[in-house]
Amino acid sequence: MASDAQLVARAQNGEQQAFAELVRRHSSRVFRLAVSILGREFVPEAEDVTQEVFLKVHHALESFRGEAEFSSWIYRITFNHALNLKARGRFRVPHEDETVLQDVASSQLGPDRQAETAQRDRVLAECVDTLPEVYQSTLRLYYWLDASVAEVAELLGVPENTAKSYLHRARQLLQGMLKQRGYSYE
Amino acid sequence: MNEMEPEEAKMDSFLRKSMAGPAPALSKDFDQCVMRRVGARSLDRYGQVLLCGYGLVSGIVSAVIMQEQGLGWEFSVAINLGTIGLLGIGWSIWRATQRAAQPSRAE
Repeated sequence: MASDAQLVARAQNGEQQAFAELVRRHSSRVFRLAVSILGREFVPEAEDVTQEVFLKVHHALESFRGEAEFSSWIYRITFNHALNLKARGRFRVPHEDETVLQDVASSQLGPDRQAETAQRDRVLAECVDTLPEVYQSTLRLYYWLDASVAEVAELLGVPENTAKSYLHRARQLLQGMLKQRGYSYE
Repeated sequence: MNEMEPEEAKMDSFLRKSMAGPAPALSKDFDQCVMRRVGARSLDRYGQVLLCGYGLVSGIVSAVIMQEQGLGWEFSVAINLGTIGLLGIGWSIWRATQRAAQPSRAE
């Protein structure tokens, strides 16, 4: 199987098939990273971001010298692109998180308990949204998208120990925020 | 992850329950969509090369004709550069209006 570097070299020579293979190989992870930055309410937008990232990469491929891994380069582009979009203020949570509503509808708990759980999950989502972007992304990758610490580290372009410390710090901050708002997390 | 304090372990298990949910996936024809857009862009670039070639040739031809008609090189250069400048300004304005008119999906 051809390596990324070989595929990049072939794509730089105009071979569309090589670029198609790079897209096939990396699209899923680029999408996971994009959705971890934008949040679960913005899955279609994350798909748009993924597409735009590949168009950017295709456009900039000639300038890629291979000093870094192709995957690190594309994840960095994704992170910056998604973050720029988010910073423009277009990605505000428009409505109640659908999964919270689904939980309420399908839960085996009594109505009071359901409402309490839904409220606590909503508060948690609000707290997560106030964390620094890199912590938000780490939490969503690890707890929602079920990524391993190694995968989180690779997608964020940091060593594994740094990814672990992001998780540790994010959990600590959330503990404080939930306690401050009077919610228990047991 | 096994060096967690009890409080942090509670938070870990709370997050596992609260943040769990179906993981989204890309649409099935995503790769083909990207490659279609990449192909369209390559055609755009081919069109740009053709347009530049056409502009260059027509500029040279018009300069030669003007020269034969007894007009100076300065005049023909000014006419050609002026035309290119006007086209450039028009194109920039068109791009700016297109960008401003682009709707945002999230708004």
